[in-house]
Amino acid sequence: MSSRVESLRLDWVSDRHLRVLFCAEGPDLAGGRLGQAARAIRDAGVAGLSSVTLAWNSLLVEFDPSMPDEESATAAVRTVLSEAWASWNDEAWRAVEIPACFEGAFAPDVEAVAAHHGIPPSSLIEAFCAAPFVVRFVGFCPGFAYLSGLPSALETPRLSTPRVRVPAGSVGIAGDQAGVYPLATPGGWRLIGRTPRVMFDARRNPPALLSPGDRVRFVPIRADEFHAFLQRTERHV
Amino acid sequence: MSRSAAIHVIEPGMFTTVQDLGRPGWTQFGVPRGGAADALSLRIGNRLVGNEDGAAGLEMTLVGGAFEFTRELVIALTGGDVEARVEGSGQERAVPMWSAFEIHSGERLVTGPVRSGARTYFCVRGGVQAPMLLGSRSTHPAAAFGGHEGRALRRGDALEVGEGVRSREHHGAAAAEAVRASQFARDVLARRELRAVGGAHMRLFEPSTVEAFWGATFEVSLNADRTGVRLTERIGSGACGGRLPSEGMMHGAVQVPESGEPILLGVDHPTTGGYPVMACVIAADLPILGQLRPRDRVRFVQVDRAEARTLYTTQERRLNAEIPS
Repeated sequence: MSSRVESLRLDWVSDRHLRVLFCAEGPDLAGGRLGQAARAIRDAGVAGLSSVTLAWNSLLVEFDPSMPDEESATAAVRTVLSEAWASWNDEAWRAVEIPACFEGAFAPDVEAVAAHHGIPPSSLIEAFCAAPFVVRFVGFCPGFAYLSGLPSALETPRLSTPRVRVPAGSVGIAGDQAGVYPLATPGGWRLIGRTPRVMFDARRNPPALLSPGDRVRFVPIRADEFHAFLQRTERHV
Repeated sequence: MSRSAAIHVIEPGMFTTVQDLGRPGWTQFGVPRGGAADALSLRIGNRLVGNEDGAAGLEMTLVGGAFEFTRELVIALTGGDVEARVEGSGQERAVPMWSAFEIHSGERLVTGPVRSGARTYFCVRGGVQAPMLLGSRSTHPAAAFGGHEGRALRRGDALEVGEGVRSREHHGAAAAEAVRASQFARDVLARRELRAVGGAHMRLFEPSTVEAFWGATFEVSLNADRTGVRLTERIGSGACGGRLPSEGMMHGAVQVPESGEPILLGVDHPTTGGYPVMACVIAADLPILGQLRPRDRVRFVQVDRAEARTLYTTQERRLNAEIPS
């Protein structure tokens, strides 16, 4: 346990930001430990703490710029992390099912991705929906969850030229990651489906549908089910 | 709160949004702090009208708007310099920046182009009202939430104003206070030498690139908004092929992508990103970023972290001494 904590590197990367870098894959970061560590820091009441950002294998801890000194802040974060590591609990994660339609206009890249791997589109979708994904972190824009757990046989490079507009709810693949676009934005991920669920809503708490550590499975739905879902739910509130 | 809207938008200006001091503490959901791009000017404006620092005002970008009022209000304009006048009842009159003034029911405030800096703040006693979302009334335009319907104001929009808590005592004559406020703001905001600390990945760049960065004068491109500002001047290529595993990003980070042209992250920055970070603008100078306009020329001056914190606390002390809340 202590050896794992020693695999952390804490560096001040601005006058108000402390970065916690988890060296190597040692601790199972994809299993939600990043999320647990971040929550522990937020809940510990560390003096001057402003926010904790999760990323691929690091946390960025922001302090008020009038914080007193680096040494005590660093020590406080290190102590919290040691305790969080010691009380690690792998049971507590939430399972979330995300309905998505992998047909027609909802899945503009599904044929190309399947062809890239030399499999029929139905096999691609089957493998994708069988995969047990884990939310590694939520970042970039509000509600964008980066999912670990894409089967290596489905890894696909990004588009060489990003799309100018990706519709909200698009389910994409980029390299060994999967994700769902919460908002209509430009984007370079390969789009293989679309969910009718609202991934981000600032009126909810938490505002994002997915949180770090959540276990995610995609459930295939037909286009008519997609439209029926929209009719009776969130977007028509 | 008044029953009928207090402010009617006659002309919205180029890009005008409701902003307060933002929503810290939601980055784990991909939500940046946001808020006023030049938080210092918003705070000063709020102090001048007798609000708490965090009351919401209007952030007008490059071109100001015109507004009509249905009740008496106390207003202050701060930030980027605009010509402003009040029309409507009797004599048209010019109104000064950095000073609270009264406006009467039926009058209009007309503001022109922003002549220096990029953003002018309209602060009103009682604060502009908007739903509190994640602890803030700020608009996050890219994600279309917060503020007034999650977007920039349009002609015909109507805004509520809260009840003013108190009539503020001026600390010394109002005119003298205006002079102090504008002088203080100029000292902070007019500089185009941005003080910064070395960033998380500075050591990953070629030494010649690092040297080029601290020695260069950059120009602000047309690609400048609340998300970030692209600078034009190549300083050699990005480290590590320009991509790293995604890390947390911050307001003031200077990313250098493969193209070698830096990106300076603004208040609505992406919360994570994979471009290497050369430097980070210090807290004391963040308000300047909100005042950068296309074609401005900027340089970065390296300071250490202890110095950066001293500069911040000194600046806060001066603010509290010259424009007490």
